[in-house]
Amino acid sequence: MKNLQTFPAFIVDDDPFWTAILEQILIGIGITDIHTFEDGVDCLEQIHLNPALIFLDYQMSNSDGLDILQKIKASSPEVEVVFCTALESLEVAIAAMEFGSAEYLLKSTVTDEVVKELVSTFQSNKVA
Amino acid sequence: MEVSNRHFDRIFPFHFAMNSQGVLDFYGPGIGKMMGEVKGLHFDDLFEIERPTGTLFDFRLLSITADRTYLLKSKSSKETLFRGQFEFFPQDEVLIFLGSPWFSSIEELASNDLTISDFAPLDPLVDLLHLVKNQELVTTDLKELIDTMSVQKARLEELSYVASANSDGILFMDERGYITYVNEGYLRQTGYEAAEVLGRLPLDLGKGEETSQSEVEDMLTSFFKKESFKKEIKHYRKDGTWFWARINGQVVLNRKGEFLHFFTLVEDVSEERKSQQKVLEFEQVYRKVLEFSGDNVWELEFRNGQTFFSYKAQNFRGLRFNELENAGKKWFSQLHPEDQHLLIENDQNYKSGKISSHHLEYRILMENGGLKWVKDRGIVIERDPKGFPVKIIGTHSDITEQKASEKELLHLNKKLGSILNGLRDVIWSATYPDMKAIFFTPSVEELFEIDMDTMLKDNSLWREIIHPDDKGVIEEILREIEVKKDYSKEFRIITPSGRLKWVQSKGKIIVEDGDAAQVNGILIDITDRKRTETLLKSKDELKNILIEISSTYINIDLKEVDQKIHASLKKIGEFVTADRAYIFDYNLAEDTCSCTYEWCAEGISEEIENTQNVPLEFVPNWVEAHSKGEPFIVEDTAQLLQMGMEGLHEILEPQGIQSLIAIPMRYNEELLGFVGFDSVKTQHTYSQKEIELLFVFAQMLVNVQRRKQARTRIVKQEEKFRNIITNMNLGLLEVDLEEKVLHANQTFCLMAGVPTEELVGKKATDLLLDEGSKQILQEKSKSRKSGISDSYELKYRKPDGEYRWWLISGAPNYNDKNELIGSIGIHLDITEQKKLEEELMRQREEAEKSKRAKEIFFANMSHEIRTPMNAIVGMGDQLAKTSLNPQQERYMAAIQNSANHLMVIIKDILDLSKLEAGKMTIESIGFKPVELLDHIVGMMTARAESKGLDFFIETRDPRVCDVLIGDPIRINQILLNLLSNAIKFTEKGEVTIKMELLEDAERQQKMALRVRDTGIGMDEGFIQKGFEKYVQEDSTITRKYGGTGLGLSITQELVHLMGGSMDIVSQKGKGTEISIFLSFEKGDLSDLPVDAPKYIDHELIRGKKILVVDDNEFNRMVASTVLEQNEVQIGLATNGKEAVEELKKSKYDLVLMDMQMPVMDGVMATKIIREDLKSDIPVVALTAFAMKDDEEKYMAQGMSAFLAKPFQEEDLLHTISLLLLGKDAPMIPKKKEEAVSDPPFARYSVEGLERLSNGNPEFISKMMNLFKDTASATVVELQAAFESEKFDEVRKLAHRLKPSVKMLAIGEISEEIVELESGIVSEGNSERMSYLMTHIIEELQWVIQDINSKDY
Repeated sequence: MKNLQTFPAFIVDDDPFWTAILEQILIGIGITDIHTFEDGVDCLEQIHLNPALIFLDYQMSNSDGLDILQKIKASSPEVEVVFCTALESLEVAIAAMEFGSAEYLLKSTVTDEVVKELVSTFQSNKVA
Repeated sequence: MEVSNRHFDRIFPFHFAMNSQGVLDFYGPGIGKMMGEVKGLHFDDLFEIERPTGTLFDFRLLSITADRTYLLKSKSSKETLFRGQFEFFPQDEVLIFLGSPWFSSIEELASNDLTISDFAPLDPLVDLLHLVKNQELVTTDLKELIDTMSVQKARLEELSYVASANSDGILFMDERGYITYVNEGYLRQTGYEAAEVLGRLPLDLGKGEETSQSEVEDMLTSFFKKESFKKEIKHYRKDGTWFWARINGQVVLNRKGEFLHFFTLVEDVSEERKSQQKVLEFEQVYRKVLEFSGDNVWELEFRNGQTFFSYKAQNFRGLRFNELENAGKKWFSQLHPEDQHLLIENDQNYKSGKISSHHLEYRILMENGGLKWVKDRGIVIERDPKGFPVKIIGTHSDITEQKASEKELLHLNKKLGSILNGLRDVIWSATYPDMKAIFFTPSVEELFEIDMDTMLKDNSLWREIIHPDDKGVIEEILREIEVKKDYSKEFRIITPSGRLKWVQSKGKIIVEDGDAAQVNGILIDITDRKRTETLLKSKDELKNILIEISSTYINIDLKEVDQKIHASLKKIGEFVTADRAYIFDYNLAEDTCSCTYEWCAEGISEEIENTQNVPLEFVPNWVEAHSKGEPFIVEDTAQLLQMGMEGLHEILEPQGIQSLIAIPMRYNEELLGFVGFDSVKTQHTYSQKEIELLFVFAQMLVNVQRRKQARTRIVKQEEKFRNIITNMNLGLLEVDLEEKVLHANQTFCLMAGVPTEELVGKKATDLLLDEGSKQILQEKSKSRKSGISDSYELKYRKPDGEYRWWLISGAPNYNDKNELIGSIGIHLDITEQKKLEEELMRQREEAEKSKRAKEIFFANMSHEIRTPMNAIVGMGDQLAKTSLNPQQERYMAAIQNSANHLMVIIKDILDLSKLEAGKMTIESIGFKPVELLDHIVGMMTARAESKGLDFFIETRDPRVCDVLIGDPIRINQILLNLLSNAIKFTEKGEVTIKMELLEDAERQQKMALRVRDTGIGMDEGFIQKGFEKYVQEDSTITRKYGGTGLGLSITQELVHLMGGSMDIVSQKGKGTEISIFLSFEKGDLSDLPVDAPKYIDHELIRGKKILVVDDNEFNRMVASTVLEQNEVQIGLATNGKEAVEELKKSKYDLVLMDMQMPVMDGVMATKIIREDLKSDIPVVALTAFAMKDDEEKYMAQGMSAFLAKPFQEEDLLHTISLLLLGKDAPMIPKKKEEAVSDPPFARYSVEGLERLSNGNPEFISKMMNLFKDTASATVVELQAAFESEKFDEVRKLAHRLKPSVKMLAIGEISEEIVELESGIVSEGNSERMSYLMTHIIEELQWVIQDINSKDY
């Protein structure tokens, strides 16, 4: 059994505000080892840190979230990637699911409860 | 494959054909040559069937035994045999014998005056004859040889006998064998002397080395037994040579039988021996020769019945011969049982001397089960003295393959034969260039009706039968064939029996050895095809005529109907070779019929005059047929008598009619008439096709007549309508495409005041209209050309100068062919209506004018009152800030109360004018109903208490949602109105307010707000009258209670605007309860408007220089006072012009600009500031024109912000603070109405952050600063991107910004930023996007500033 909280979590987003919010939320639910990246390439370079969770922005100025998602899944299929988007678009969500993102998070409606529930779902999946 | 008689002739020159009677029909050239002319002779006259024996001629039997070989014997003296088979051709009912004469030698052939070339090259007989010939030659040689030999042999024998007397040796010997006598002969034979011989033993003298010892011993044995002997031995001479000696030894006894001596005759047989050897050698050679000519050579010795086979017998594979077996017996045993009789017969014939040679063909069964055909030929080579054969020699040849190929050939012939004879077309061959017929297939006889022989003999015949008109075709053919080497022609022939046939002839030159040798071709009877073609052609022609007629009819001008019908009668009449064509109409009501159209050929009398109202009883046959829908046809009048139709004959005969046809004309089931055609000069038989097409013609006639009738009806109807129009006093005018009058009715002429004769032919527009109207009309006529009809009004000036108004309904006018020929207009004089209408218009305009005047009045009043009120309120406020003594304070309070009261009245009036102008809008924003209620109660409590009334909230339904969507200001206004009325009109008792939930739907709530009082009440009439404006129930009330009387009606209007209703229950003197019912959407907290606290930055304002522009001194004073208190330097200007001058002179930070000023108003001044001075100094519009769309109007004219007068001090400072904030001064968000002090809504919120961090101030501080930094950067980026039109960049920035805006709940722009993100790429810098950009940036800047000032 892998306790998600003991593994590093990545936040990949070029919006420092959002990154800070999410960081706060994650700390709130007990995740301490949080790495933040401003673009996908940096994230990929650090993938050896073996994160259990990656919060990935869909629309970054320097990289395409979907593209990064595929790369992450290609190198570390077991990592849980949460797709974060400010787009309230179902299509992006579906695309993300197809590419192996387990969940997606709408930035506009995010609360600590939502993230908490999401992480605990992952956790229970791991247990199962 | 085309097979012709020519082929037959080649393959079976000896064929002949018989009909079922057995009479010969045609035959091959070979038969002709052998038997002469045999056509017409019976089979039995010519032949008997030799084999199968006993068969008699039986056509049927022969027809079905095609696979049998027959041997026919000619009944001529030569008794020639014909071998072949019969082939039956069922189509032609002929039986053809396919075979050839069966000769066993060339001589036989020659004796029949035939040569090999009379046979088909493939005929096996030819091969056979060649073989026989060869063999004959060999046999002849052999015979000669044998004959020579026999002669020699006989001669030798003779010689030997003679010599015996002279030259044979004779010896006598005693009992012991010693020679006692020798003659001269022996001495000559041996060369001894007599003395040397006598007393010696013969053996000692004659025996030598090669003398056969056994023969000698035999002789000695015979000698000592005293027996005779005869031996041939080699006898030696004295010189040692030897000769063949035949030794005849004989004992000579005396009469007593006692031995006298032994007599020995020695014959020299050397020569004989030599001959014998020669014969032997010859026979061997002969055998070999035979063996070459056959597979086996055999030899039969009749004396002992022995048969010898050469080794070649082995060649019959599958037949093994045992050496011990008699080959002949074995052979016979293997013979096919059916063929055994052949050999037996043959043997007997030989034995009886009937034949000296034979030739048989029979079948041998092989041991492996196979079967071989054998050709067995033989000849006698030795006879006994009586001439009977002793020895026969012969050959066996394997002819199995030959037989097979023969069979195949026959099969092929059979096939070819059936095809050739089955052919209807004629295949022919002729010499080239003289075109002499060589050959025709039998079908030629049928085609030309000339028999084949005649055809072949007389070359000119077939030229003669060519139709006289087509004779030239021969030359054409010859020419064509010379040039093109082939040809194809169609021409007519007339056969001897007088029949006309169409023939297609095709031919082609056949080149042999490079020369054009002959022409082969085919003749096809195409009469049927031609007949069909002609029929088709005639049908087509008739069809074409009909099509032509129908096309004429389709576009027929109905005036021309008669002429066209006449023409078509002629056309069809001529086509069917009729001499008279006519149409009759039936009048079934009167039982008559009448001719309506008639056409007659030249020389034929017209009958139309005589055929009017003909009683139907005169033409019963016609009527009878026609009523059934059938044509009435008389093919040949002459035959009517025979058919027992005297009556009809009597009618037609006198008119000289030979044939006639009358086709009924029917429409639906109704019989209208008929169209008929009489043939007078010739008789005409109508084909089915013709009749069908004539029916079509009849139908066309019906059609065109009906159209004519319809047309007549239309004309009548037209007339009717014209009359109606005239009677209804409608002017009717028809003009052509050039606007020239075609027709004008009387009414029109009266209307126009122009007589008809002056109108018709004139250009209506020129005649009737002035320039202005002409233009209208030209447009109308243009639209007529596109098929548009419409109505319009026109002012017409009559010649007498009177103006009339016309309503004209115009429509394009088409002729029968649907061509536009002009337009038609119906004119109605509407001058009276028009006058009425003008009057109404004028009245309405006046009403409008007065309404506008009212509005202007209200606006002016608003301005005129507000301006001084502004001063009163402003100055009052300022005065109240100074230190006043109690009395002064009381006065002050009174002033302010009055001012407030006045403001309410003004607001009522303004509201009403807004309502009337439809400019009042209802907002949909979130509000908290409970708060609203509490607030109002709070506002009114003091007033109620001052009158000593009980004032409280009676019900506050807890089910009412916390937040509803609606217009809180207006609800506030309504309740204030109701409450203030209630308080006003209640002297004692209570005033209560209730809020009740009536309906609670998923998304909506309906509630009732009730205000109840115990006041004076209203009577029923007043309530029902509705709350007329400016009216109070009793004018005394006004005096007593004051007020504008507008309250209730405004309230009602507002309630209606909100989709609600109002109910009043009142009793005079008892009290009133007014209920309003309103529905609201449910909302939540997020729907509540975020109202920022007024942001006033005193530091920022301090020391700034502001220009106050207002023509009203008090207003300038109010503004100045407020500003000066905030340490602002003031500049003053009384109008726009001064302001501009002032701005040119000194530098200002901001301008407060009144909008309505003399000399130059604020709008103009701002324009100059912006355009001429190119200054972006913030300009705040101040106006008392607080109408709905004022704000937008001023903002669009370059103002930076807008303030309605009278303004509150803090509003002014707030506006100024914002404007002074930066270069990009934000616009001031729309001010809320002052009547309600809305609960303060924050423009942003840290609640979200607090929630996330459990109120961790560090986090909040960090986030706020983070937001401040990122948002500041984003604002700059946004502006840059938007200005350089990088809209996608804008989109991305907006997108990135979105979550933080949401998180900080910056309500003002949280929707707008979504809108910006989704719309910017497609809309670019549209007005909306520009606004969003500005607004978002402004809001962000405000938030940033606020965060800054709050120092998180």
